[in-house]
Amino acid sequence: MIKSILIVNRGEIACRIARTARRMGIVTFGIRTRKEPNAVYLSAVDKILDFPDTDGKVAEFLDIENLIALAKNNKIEAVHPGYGYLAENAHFAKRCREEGIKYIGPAPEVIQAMGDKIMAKKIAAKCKVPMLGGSLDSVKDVAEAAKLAQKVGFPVIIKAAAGGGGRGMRIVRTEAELPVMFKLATSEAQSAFGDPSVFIEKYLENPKHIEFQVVADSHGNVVHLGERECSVQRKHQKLLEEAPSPALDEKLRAKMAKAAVALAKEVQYESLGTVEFLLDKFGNFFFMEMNTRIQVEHPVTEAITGLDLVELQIRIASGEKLPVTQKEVSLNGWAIECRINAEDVQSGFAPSMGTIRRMRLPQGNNIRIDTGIMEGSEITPYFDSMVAKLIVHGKTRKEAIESTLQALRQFHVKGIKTTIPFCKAVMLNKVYRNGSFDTSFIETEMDSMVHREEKEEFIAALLATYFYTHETTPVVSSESSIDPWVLKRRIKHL
Amino acid sequence: MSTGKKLIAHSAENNAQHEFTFKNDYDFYYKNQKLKFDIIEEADGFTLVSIQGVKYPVEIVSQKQNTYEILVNGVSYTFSIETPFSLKRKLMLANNADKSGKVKVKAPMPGKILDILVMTGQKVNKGDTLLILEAMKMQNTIMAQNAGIVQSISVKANDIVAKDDVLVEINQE
Amino acid sequence: MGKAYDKFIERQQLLEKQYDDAYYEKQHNRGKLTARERIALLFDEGTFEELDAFAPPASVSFGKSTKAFGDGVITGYGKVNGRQVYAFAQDFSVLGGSLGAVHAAKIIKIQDMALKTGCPIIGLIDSGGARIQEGVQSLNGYAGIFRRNVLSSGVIPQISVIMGPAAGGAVYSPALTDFIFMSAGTSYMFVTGPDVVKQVLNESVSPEELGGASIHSTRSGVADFAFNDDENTILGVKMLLSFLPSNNIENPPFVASDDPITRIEPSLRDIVPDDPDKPYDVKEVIKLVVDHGRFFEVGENFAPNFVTGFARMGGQVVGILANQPRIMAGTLDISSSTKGARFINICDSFNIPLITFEDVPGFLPGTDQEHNAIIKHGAKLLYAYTYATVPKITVVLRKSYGGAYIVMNSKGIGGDFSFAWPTAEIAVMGPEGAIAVLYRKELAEAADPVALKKQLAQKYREDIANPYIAEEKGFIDEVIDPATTRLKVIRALQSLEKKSISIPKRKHGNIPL
Repeated sequence: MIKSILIVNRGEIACRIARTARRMGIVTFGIRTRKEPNAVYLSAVDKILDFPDTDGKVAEFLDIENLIALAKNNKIEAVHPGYGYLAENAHFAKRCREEGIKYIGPAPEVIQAMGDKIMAKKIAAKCKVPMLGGSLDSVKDVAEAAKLAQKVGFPVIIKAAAGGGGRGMRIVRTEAELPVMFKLATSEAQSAFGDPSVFIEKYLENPKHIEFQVVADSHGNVVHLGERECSVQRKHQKLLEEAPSPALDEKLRAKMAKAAVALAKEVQYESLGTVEFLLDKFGNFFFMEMNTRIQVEHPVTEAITGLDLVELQIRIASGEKLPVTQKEVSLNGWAIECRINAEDVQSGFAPSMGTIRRMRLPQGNNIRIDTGIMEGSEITPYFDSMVAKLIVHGKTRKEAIESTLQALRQFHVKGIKTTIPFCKAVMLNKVYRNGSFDTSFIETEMDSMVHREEKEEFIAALLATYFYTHETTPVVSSESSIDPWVLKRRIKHL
Repeated sequence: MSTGKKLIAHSAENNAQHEFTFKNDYDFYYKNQKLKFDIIEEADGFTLVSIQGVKYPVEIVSQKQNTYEILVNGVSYTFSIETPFSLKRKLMLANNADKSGKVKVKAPMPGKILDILVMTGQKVNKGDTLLILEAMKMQNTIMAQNAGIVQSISVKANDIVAKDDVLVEINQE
Repeated sequence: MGKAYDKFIERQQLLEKQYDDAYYEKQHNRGKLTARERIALLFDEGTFEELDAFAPPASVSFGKSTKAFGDGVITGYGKVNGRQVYAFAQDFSVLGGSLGAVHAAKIIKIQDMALKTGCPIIGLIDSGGARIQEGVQSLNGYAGIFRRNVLSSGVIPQISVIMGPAAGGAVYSPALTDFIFMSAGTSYMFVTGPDVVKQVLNESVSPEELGGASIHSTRSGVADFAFNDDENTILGVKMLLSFLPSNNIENPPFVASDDPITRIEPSLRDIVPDDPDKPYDVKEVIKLVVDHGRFFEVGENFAPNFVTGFARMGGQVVGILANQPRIMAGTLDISSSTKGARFINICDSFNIPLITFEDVPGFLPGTDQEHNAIIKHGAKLLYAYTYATVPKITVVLRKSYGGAYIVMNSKGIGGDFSFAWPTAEIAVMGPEGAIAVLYRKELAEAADPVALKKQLAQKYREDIANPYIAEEKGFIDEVIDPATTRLKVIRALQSLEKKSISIPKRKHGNIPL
């Protein structure tokens, strides 16, 4: 069993990893940066290492060599990358291996292969995993793109091979726009990722986004832990997730799980991984990509399976076999995760900066809150705006929704604006409640981004009036005595 | 005694109007009924308004003269308090006023752009931070002077700017 | 009495006819309140006594009309929140509020009464300017008003409230008074109006752009306050009055407060960031320290890098001045120096103690400042602080370098008490500049100048730029726990209650103008 772990991450995931590692008796190391010397995650770890002074050109948690040096100099056995930062950086994983540091995640070659979107598609094709029609390789020029687009049928999407996040991506609906869009996508890909290669894929309008959690050990055992429904998204950012998905029945689940497991087996996957699919309105699913790390929304899977995913990662990295077989995995009840971000929903989800003056968290046996901040924490432009993840479990989907609503009603933050009213609005939305929503949900089904109640508006009006009358009333008194000594001298000096 | 002062809470967002009558330096009347409510400061720092047996967590986000932005249960409501006359005048001025126009946000001093905190197309309110300009070895917050939509951003992070260089253009609402 | 009484009543009715519905409607349609309504809002109900309501205009050709009682201005006295105040309200609906000889004489009469009785005087300006038909008589009327403005300056508080046009010579009276309020959207102040500007310079500009409330409260600094409308403006005037004494012999009104003097605020320890380059909002500090967090800011939008305003501490009215690190790093420049100097002068005239919160890295450099005489304007602030004989207390929050240290009410120029927070850095110049000068040679020769600079800067902060050296030498009376700021300042203030010093007699000093 691994005895020490350096967590090369911050915020809530660092707290999360430390929590499990400590429970397992493993010594945890956290990294302190100048930007947040008093961050909460530092009190979750056993030992704190200071990140060395550099010229700051590379962000601390992206500075591979310095991070490796910290692990080596302190003789730390393993490294956990969390999510984001270096979590899917094959070079970092390789460097760890070269320096004899255990990397808690898949092998660098697997990270590399799955990180390259085109390579990933080729592997998926080999396993006969359903995919969207399009190119299996990068497209050489506009002519080739046009031919493929014709074959596959419009609309198509041009995607960058070397990266994602919406950059180097262009949706093309007609043949006429293809040349322009092609040029835009390739130049954007070049400036964002240094590689102009793009490929063409059929574009699905408003699909559902379903991902499957797989876990594999170094002995060839691969198991899936069910799916997560992640269609509530805004500009490709997930805002709310749930497990399982209301769109899957046992048959479909089995089909998709089989594909996910096949993919993992093909690359001899190790550790935690997530296979993302798009689901159309007719029950057809298509492979999108595979994420070779632990994901933000992993708690909903933990809630319905009763398994600790971070613990699984650590055990696998220590060489142990998976503690469960597929038959032993059962999905119980329903879990919903709300991402509470410091954003002003009413102003287009603009970041709400400031200091969290007070927090009141909901309590309950079926409520879990993962957070990396506390009262007094400052929300700065340097890091993401996540305040907390609220995960609620229920016996049924209906119960989970009601419990989530209840928990949101008890969740109060003072000092910044949050997405809590948005999450409430989603919970109360008819389309969300009947489960028939897809990735266009936020744009098309929500009239108002927040749940406004008439009573609340009245309270605001009343309060404003109350404060106004108090502020504009000056305090008066008729006290006007002056010490005679002062008066005499004052007159003399005039 | 006094007939009481009529005050109207007016919301610019949806033109909602709530009329209250303020009497005796103390009492609020709504639709001719005296309002019974309490403002409670809890020990953990939260402020609650208790009315008709229900407690609502509230927070004043900002106050500019007679305009208040108040969060009730995390949702933001902005009201300005007017008298019947000033409301009439406000609505009249709003109709007559020349509302169009781009506002240019300029650098108040030479320096380096550290961070740009808004995007084109983003809605901003007066007082929102647009960017952070480093000058005199200090970080200065450049704030929006008017509410509107960000029309264009003429600089990027690490740009060096001179005094009065145009940084951001906002389409005033 | 019979017939004599009937005639008296008849005359009253004629006056009422002047204030008919059309009178109110016309003004309301312009988005303004009538002079009568403004007076009613300003004064406590039923306390206003009007003088010279029937005075007819001087010029004969107007005298025939019955709609010209009062000659376009309502003058009189009454109580504002229980205190005796004189006021005049120009009436735009009567002869356009234009100033003729009688109009001016009415104003002059109450100016004299206010001076005689030591009461504040408030002018509600809403006038078309001098009455052309009356020629030099109008001009002479203005001259008389200006003269009395100057004679009363610093003796009784004079407040001007611009609630309509104020053009040409008419703007000089407000300029001579202590505070100017403007009502946004409907008031303008300029010496030469847009028509003449167009004629002479061929420049097209609207009255709002030339001299509206927004321009004067943010760019020129002529207006100390700009409120959304007439009602809020008058509420603002009443608020201001509650901080001022009635005349220069009285103390400002003391209001025993239930905000305990001993209130400790631990959050004050967290407001100043550890990183000396990071900004914070000094108004947060102010609000935590004053009674009930109530701070009435003066000139909020002009020179925002310097904050001035009134508050109470321990019930006593104080004038607060502070550098604002959030804007322009809190440096002093021309605008902020003049804003501060003016505020100090007013407080000194009316026995209001000065509390200064300091965090200033220096004066703003550059040819723009130098060529526009920052030397003189900075000196104004220095002069004002030195000249003031009211109690003066300073709290150094963070930076205090060089000339700015001296200017911001240091003990050397006569500050009574100087406190400092542990984060204070008092030095001739900041670490960066000082190291560059002192260790020029070493830095040039160093293998790693960046590291050496950091090291030396740290040493500089430890050895020189900290408050303890100043404390040991007595230039800082005490380095205090930020949480106890309120307590320390109020106690110092109380000890200075009977402060009385004299300065050498002379006709008047020569503040650099």
